[in-house]
Amino acid sequence: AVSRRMADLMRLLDEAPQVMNSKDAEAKAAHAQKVFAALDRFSDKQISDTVDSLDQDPGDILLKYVYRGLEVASEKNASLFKWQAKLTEKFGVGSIIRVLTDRKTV
Amino acid sequence: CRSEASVRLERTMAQTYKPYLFCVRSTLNAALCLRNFPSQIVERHNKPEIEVRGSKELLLNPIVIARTEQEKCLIEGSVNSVRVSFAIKQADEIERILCHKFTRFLMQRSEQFVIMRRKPVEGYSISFLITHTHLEKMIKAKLVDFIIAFMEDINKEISAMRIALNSRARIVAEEFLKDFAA
Repeated sequence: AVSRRMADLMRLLDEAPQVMNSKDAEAKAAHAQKVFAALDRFSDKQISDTVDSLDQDPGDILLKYVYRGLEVASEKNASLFKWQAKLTEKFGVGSIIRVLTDRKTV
Repeated sequence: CRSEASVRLERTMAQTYKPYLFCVRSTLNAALCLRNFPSQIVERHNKPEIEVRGSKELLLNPIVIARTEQEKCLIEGSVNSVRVSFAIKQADEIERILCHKFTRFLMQRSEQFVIMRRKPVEGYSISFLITHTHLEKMIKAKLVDFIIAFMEDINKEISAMRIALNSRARIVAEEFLKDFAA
């Protein structure tokens, strides 16, 4: 069984490509806020298991949102660093390079 | 008194510092995949594309990693060069002056540092420009280690300078005011 917050996060990540393909900055910002709210519901201890259950593509998209979140300083950044560390550990340097190079930004 | 409290504060801040540096390190490791790329605009020229910014297709998405409002890192990549800029934490007026003087000192000697930029990017305290030629001569892992260690040391130096300044000021004030006491 998948927990409620995990299902919500997966749904948001599945919807992300539509937002990424568009050029609407407001839609992207709104979707990003939803993703951050979904991430907030995970405690730091659950990050490891959550990342392990992700596949490559949702993992890449999540990493893009993590970097977007890190652009602005807030208290959540402490847990965002943990997300970034775990995602990089699982998916490797390539996922960061995909964040840098992908023209379809989050 | 204040200086001991500030030392304790710095020690606790150092613990939240490590994840930030780790994030910068892994991102820098990814961004530093460079190759030689002669200029597409001028024949026989080879320029760092991140500085020239002539062709948009050669530039990567810039990444900002913010630890606090003041402390952040900007990593701008391109096909043959990367620009890394750091904004150093400047808590009060004294630290701002110290940081400004210290970074100015370093930037005037940027040739010695090879990878340092003479002027920081707008909004940041210090910048590095790393090109593919640097990576051909130097080991990438050690270069990343150097930058991270450099940023740690700058913070330690500025904190140490501020503490020394405050203690010296206190001693001087005490000696001076002794004449007026009793």
